[in-house]
Amino acid sequence: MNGFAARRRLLAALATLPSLPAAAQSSAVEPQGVRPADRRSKDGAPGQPVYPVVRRGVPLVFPRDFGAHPEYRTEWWYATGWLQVQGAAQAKAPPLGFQVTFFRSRPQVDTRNPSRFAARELVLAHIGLSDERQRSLVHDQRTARAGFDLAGSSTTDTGVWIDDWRFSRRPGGTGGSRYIASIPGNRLGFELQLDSTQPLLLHGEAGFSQKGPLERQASYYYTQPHLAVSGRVVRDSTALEVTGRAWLDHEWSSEILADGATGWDWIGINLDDGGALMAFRIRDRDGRTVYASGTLRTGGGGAGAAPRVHTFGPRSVMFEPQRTWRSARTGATWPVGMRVTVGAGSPDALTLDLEAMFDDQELDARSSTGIVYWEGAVTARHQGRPIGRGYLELTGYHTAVVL
Amino acid sequence: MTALLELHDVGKSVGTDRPRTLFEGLSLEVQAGESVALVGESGTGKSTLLNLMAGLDRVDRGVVRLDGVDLATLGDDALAALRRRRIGFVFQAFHLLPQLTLLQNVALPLQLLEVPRGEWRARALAMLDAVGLGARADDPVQMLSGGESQRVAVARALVHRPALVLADEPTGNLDSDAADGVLALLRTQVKAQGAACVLVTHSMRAAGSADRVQRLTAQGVAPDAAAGPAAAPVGDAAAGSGPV
Amino acid sequence: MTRRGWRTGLAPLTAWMAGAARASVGRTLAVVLAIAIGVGMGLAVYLINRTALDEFSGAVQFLLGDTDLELRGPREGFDEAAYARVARLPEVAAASPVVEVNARVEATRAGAAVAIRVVGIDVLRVATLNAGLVPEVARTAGDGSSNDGAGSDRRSTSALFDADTVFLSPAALDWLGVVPGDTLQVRVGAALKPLRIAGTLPGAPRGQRVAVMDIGAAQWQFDRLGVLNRIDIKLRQGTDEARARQSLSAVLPAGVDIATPADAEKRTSNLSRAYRVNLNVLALVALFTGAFLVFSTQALSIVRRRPQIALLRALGASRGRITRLLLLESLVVGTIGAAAGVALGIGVAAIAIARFGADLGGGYFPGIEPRFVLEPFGVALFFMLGIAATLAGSAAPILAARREPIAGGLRAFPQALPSRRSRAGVLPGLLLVGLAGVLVVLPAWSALPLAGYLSIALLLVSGMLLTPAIGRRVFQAVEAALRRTDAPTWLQLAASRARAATGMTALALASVVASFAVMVAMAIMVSSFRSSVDQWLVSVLPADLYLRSARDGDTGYLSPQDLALMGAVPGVATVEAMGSGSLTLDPLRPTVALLVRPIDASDPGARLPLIGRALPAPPGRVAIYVSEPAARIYGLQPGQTVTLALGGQAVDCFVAAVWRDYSRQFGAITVDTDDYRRFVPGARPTDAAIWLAPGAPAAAVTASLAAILPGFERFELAEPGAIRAYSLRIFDRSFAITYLLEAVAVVIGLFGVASTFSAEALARGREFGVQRCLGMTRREIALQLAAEGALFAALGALIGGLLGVAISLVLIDVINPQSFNWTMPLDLPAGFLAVLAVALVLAASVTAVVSARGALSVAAVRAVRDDW
Repeated sequence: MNGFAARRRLLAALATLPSLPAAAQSSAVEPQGVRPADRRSKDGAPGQPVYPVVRRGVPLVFPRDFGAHPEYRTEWWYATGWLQVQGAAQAKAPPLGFQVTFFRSRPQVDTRNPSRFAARELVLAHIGLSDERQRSLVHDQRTARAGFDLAGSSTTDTGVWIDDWRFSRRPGGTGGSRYIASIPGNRLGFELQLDSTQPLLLHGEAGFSQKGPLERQASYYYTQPHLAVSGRVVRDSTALEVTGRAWLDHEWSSEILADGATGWDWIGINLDDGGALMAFRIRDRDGRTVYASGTLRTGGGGAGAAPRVHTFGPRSVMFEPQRTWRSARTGATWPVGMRVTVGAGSPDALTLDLEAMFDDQELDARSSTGIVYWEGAVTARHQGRPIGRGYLELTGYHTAVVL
Repeated sequence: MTALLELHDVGKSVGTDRPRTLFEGLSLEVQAGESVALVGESGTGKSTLLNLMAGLDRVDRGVVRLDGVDLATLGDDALAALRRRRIGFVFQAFHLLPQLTLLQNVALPLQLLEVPRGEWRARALAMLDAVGLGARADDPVQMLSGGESQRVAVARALVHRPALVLADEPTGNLDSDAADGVLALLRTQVKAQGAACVLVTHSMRAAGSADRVQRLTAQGVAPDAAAGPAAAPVGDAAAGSGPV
Repeated sequence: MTRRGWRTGLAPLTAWMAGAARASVGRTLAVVLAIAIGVGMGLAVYLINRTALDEFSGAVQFLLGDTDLELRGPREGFDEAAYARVARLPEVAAASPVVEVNARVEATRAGAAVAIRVVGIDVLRVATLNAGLVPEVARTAGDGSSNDGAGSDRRSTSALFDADTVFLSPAALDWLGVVPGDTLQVRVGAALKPLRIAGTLPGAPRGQRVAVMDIGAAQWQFDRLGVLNRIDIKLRQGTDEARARQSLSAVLPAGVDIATPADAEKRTSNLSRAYRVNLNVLALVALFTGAFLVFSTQALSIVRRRPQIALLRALGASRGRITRLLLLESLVVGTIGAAAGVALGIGVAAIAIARFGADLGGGYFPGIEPRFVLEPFGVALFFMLGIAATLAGSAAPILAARREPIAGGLRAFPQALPSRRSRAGVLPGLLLVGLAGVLVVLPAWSALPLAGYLSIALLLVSGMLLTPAIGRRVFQAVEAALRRTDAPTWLQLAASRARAATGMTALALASVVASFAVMVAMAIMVSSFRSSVDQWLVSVLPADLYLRSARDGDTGYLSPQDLALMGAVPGVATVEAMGSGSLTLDPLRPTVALLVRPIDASDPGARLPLIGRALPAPPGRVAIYVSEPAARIYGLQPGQTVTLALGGQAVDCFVAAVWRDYSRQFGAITVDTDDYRRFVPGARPTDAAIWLAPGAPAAAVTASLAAILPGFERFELAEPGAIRAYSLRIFDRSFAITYLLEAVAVVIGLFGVASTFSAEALARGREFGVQRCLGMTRREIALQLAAEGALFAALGALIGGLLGVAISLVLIDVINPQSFNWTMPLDLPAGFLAVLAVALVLAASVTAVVSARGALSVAAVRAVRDDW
C-alpha cells in the first residue's frame, strides 16, 4: 500500500494546495458498467457522481482487473524497487531506489457536463530516485485530466499515461506479465521493463483489503512482487543501464481513510528467499494505530516447499520506531529505523528491522503539493542479517494528511 | 474788451499727502494776439499753469476763463471740444504720433474738428509748406530730426487756427540753431494767424521772442525786469488789462 | 564671477528684477498658468496612458504567464480537436487550452450589469505555463476543512473542477462587491446561470478583473462545447521558433494565428495607439501654447524694461549679468509654473482615472480596474519640459535684449519701435506653407498620421509668421480706405495704429490667430464628423425596432426559438437576425469584427451605407462587404478576392463593396447570414432587426414581444431614433474635452491680447495725453482702443479662420483617415464660425479697453509732462 501514501500525498496536495492542481477525489463519469447495487450516492442530487463501494467476495478477474476502474474514486499502480547499475565501471556502485507511480482519480463533478474537457478522470504520476552515493532523493511529477488521448487509462489491461509518461502491461512469457515504465526525462527519466517472476499476491480476502474499522473502508488490492527489472535510468542527462528487483501494487477503492486518521506507515519488501511482505498501519493524531493489516507470502526456504500466504489482522501487525531522524529542512522527526512485526505470537511470526538506504529520503513537496512525507528505499534485517529489500513510506509526521 | 484768457486769483497745490503750494492768488490776462513768455525757476509750476490754462488740470481756487467762459463750469467733453477749437499745443518732446506721417500728424486737429477731407488736406499741406516741410508730407515722423519734429508740432498747433497756442519749453530738446529756427517759426506763424501765445520757458533767449515776459514766483507773476522792452507789469489783484 | 561678486553685484539687481515681476503680477501669473496648463495637460495624459498601458501589459503578462507562443482563434472559437494535435507535436513541451468569454454579470451588488472576462482553463495544464491563473479554493464556513479522513468534506477540492464554480481575482471581487461563497448570475443566451464563487486567484496582479473557471465547465455553461479560443504553448527547450511555427500551422485550422506574448502586447497597445497619440498631441499643443505665451510675455516685459536695462548697462552691468538675470527670472517663473503643472497633472490624472477609467471612457482597456500609479520619470520629464518650454520661450527676447545697444534703450520713445521684423517672417512662412502642403500628401508613418500633425504644426507656425506681414498689408489697405472717407478720427487713428503695430502687438495677434485657427479647425472637424455620423446612423438603422440580447459581454444570444417567437408576433413583418464574430487578418493588429446578417446580394445598399456601388460576386466566391476602416487598413478594394477563415476553413471571399463605418475603428467585414451558415452552421445571432407591418404601432409590438419572449426583461429593445440620440449623446460627450481645450486655447490667446494691450497702453500713455491735448475725449480714445482691438481680432479671426479651414481639411482628409481609417465629407458650420468670430472680435475690443483703462484714467497732464 505504497500507492496509498503517495497517492494520498498527491491527492491531498491537490486538495490543499493553491498552486498545484489541487484535484482530488471525485469524478464524474457516467458510471457505465457498474451494477446499481454498487453505487453509492451521498445525496443523489442530479449530476452527482456515484462511486461504487468495494465489496467483500467480488472476485478479481484478470486481465480485466489489470486495467483501470474509472467509476471508483481512486486507483493506483505503484512500482518501487532496488536497482543496480550495470557495466564494468559501475561494478562497485551502490544500489539505487526507484519509484514510478500512476494514479487515477474521479473528481466529484457534474456528470451531465458533455464537454470533452469535463474532469471525469484525473491522472497523476510521481517518479523518484534514491541515490545512496549522493544521499539524495530526486523526484518529478505530472498531473492531467484524462481526455483527448493525451492522458488516460485503459480498462482492458494496465495502461495509464500522461503525455509521454506511460506505464503499461502486456502478457509476458508463461502466463506472466511484462510491465513497461516509459518515463522520458533529462533530469530524471526511466525506461524500464519489469517482468513477473511470481504469481500475483492478492491481499486481504482474495483482493478485498480492509483499510479501516468499517466494512466500507476497503480497497481491491493486489501485488506483483519480485519483478525482474532491466532497462535504463536517466539522471541529469546521463543514461545508466540498470537491473534490479521491483514491487508493483495495484489498488482501487472509493473510500479508504477512517475518521480520525492522520497518517500511515507502510512497507513492501521483497524477501531474499523469494517471499514478500506487505504491511501497513493507519495512525490517529496521537500515534495510536487505527487499523493495521499485512500479507506475507513465504519464499519456501529453498526446500521447494510451496509458498504459503499469511494474512494478518490489526492485532498481529506492529510498527515500532527504533531510530528517528530529524529533518533540518522541515523540522519533522521521522522513524527511519522501524521494527515491523507480523503474526506476533503465531508460528509464522516475522520481525524485520528496517534500515534506510540513507536518512534523508524526505520529500518536501510543500511548495508544489504541499505535503511532507518520507518515501525511502530500505533494507530489511532479521536479527541483524539482511533478508530483503523494499520501500518504507511514512506520512503524517509533519502535519496531518488532509484529504 | 474781454481778455482772451483770464486767470483770476488762482491757487494751486500739488501732492495729496503734504500739499505744496505752487502759487497763490495768481492773476494774469492774455489778450487776443498777444504773446506772453512765462519764465521762472524749476518747480515754480510753469507747466502746471499751462495745464490750468488748457483745462487739462483744475484750479484749487480762483477762476480761469477762456473766451470769457469759466473752465470750471465745463465738463470733460466740453473742455476737449474747447481745446479742439481754440488751443494749439507745442511740447518740449514734440509728441508727434509715431505711426502717422507728417501730413497726418498735422491734419489731426482738423480731422478732430471734422473738417471735410479735401479741405483738411489742403490746409495741412499749406501749413506744412509754411513750416518748410511740405515736400516731406508723406514721410513718417520717425525720420525727422528734433528741429524738424518741432516744426511739425508747430504746424499741428496752428493748423486749425487756434486762438491760443500753449508752448511748453518748445526748444528744451533742441540745439541752439534749431531752437532759433523753431522760435522764429513759432513767432511768425502765431503772428501770421493773429493767435495769442503763452510760452513757458527758462531760456531768456526764448522769452525774448515774446511781446511780454512774466516771471513766475510763489507769489504770483510779475513783469520780468530783465526781460525785453515789451515787458509790462501785471497787478496781482488787478483784473485789469495790460496793454500790449 | 566670485561668490562675493554674485552677492554684491546681483543682489540689488535681483531686487530690481523682483520689482519688475511685482509690477506685472498679472502677466507673471499668466505665464505660470500657461506653463502649468501645458505641463499639467501633458503630464495628466502621460500618467493616464502609462497607467492604462501598465495595467494592460500587466493583463497580458498575467494571462499569458510563461507562454512562448499563443495560438489565438477568433472570438467565436475554433475546433478543440486542434488541442490534441498541438499538444502531441514534438516541439511542444506543454499546451494549455483556453476558452475565453466576456460574460455579462447581472444583479451584482455593485449595481449595474457589467461584463467580466471569464477564462476557462485546465488548471492542471495551465499550472506549468502560468501558475498565476491557478485558483485557490476558499475555505468558507460551510466547507469546514477536516483532516480526519475519508469521510471529510471534499467539496472544496472538487470546486476546482465543478461545473458551477468560478474563481475571481481580488480586483473582480471588489469590483462586483462579492465575496467567496456568493453566487454570480451570468447571462447565457437569454437565460441567467448561477455560478458559485468558490475562491480567488491569489496570483492575479492588483487591478486585474478576471474570473477563472474549469475549461470543461466554461464550455458547458457558456455553450462553447467543442471550441477553444486559445492554446498557450511552451516550446521544448532548444526548439527553433520558426520550425515550431511551421509544424503548428500544419495542424491548426484556418483563422488560428500564432503569436508571441510580445505580439499580444503590441496588439493590445495598438488598440489604443491612435487614441493615445492624439491625446499626446493635444498635450503638446498646450505646452506649445504655454511656451508661446512665455515668449510674448517675456518679450513684452523686456521691451518695457529696455530703458531700465539700458540704464543698468550704462551704470556698468555687463551684458552677461543682464542675461543671467533675465534667465534667472525665467527659470523662477518656469519652475513655479512647472511645479504647479505637475500638481495639476497629477490631480487631473488621478481624478480622471478614478472617474472615467484609464481610457477616459474610450473602452480600449476593459477588464482593468484603473489604479493610478505615480510614475517619477514622467513627473520629472514634464517638470523639466515645463522649465525648458519657459526658457525656450524666453530665449529669443533675452538674446534680443543682449544685442540691444545701450543708446537705443535710452531713447525717448523706446516703445515706438518700427515693426522691422514684419517682413522677416514672410519667406519662412511661405516656405512652411509649402512644406505643409507636401506633408499632407505623405502617407501615415507606421499607422500614425505624424506627417499630418507636423503639417498642422507648420501651418500654425507659418500662420503666425505671416500674420505680421498680412496684418500690415490689410491694415494699410484699411487705413488708406478710411483716409479716403470722413470716418471719425478715432477710427482712423485706430487703423493707423493697427497698421503700425509693434512687433509685440503682432505677436499677440499671432497667438490669437493660432488659438482661433485651432478652434475653427476643431469646430469644422467635429461638425463634419457629427453630421457624417448622424447620416450614417440613419442609414445603418433601417429597421423599425432593434433588439439586442445583451449590451455587454459576448455571452448573450438569441436562440432560433426566440427568433421564431419574434417573427410570430402580430404586427411584425420581418425579423432579421444579426450576429458577429471576429477575424484576424494580421496577428499584430486588433481583430476585425465579422458581422453576420442577411444581405441581399442584388441590393446590399439597403442594409449598408455603401461607398460607391457594389460589384456582383463571381460564382463560387462568398461576397463580403468591407467597412471603410478595414478596407483602408488592409488595402482591400472592391473586386478583389481575399481569403478569410470562416469556421476554421480558408474561404475565398470576394470584396463586393466598401461601406462607411464610424463605430469599429479596427475594421468590420459583413457577410450574408446564409453564406456564413454554410461554414458555421451553429452560428448564434446576438441582435435582431425588426420591421413592422404597415400601420402596426411599435408600442403594441413591444408589449407583445415582452409577453411572448422568455427573458425579455434582459433584452434591450430600442427604436432607431433612440439609438441615434443615444449615440450622438455619446459622441458629444466624447468631444466635450476637446471643446474645453479649445476654450482654454482661446482664453490663452485673449490673455495674450490683454497683456499686450495693457503693456502698450501704459507705454502709450503720452500718446493718449497728446491726443487729449489735441482735443480728443476719453471716450474717443476708448473707442480708438476698442477699434484697435476689434481690428486686430478681426484680422486674427480672418487669418485664423482661413488657417482653421486649412487645418480642418488636414484633420478631416489626412489625420482622421490615417488615425481612424474613416473619411467624412466636409461640413462647414458657417453660422457657428461667424458667431465665434464675432465673439472673438467683441471679446478683443472689451479686452483692449479694459486692459488700457489704467492708462486712460491717468491725467493727460502727467502723461505729457513726464519728460522732465
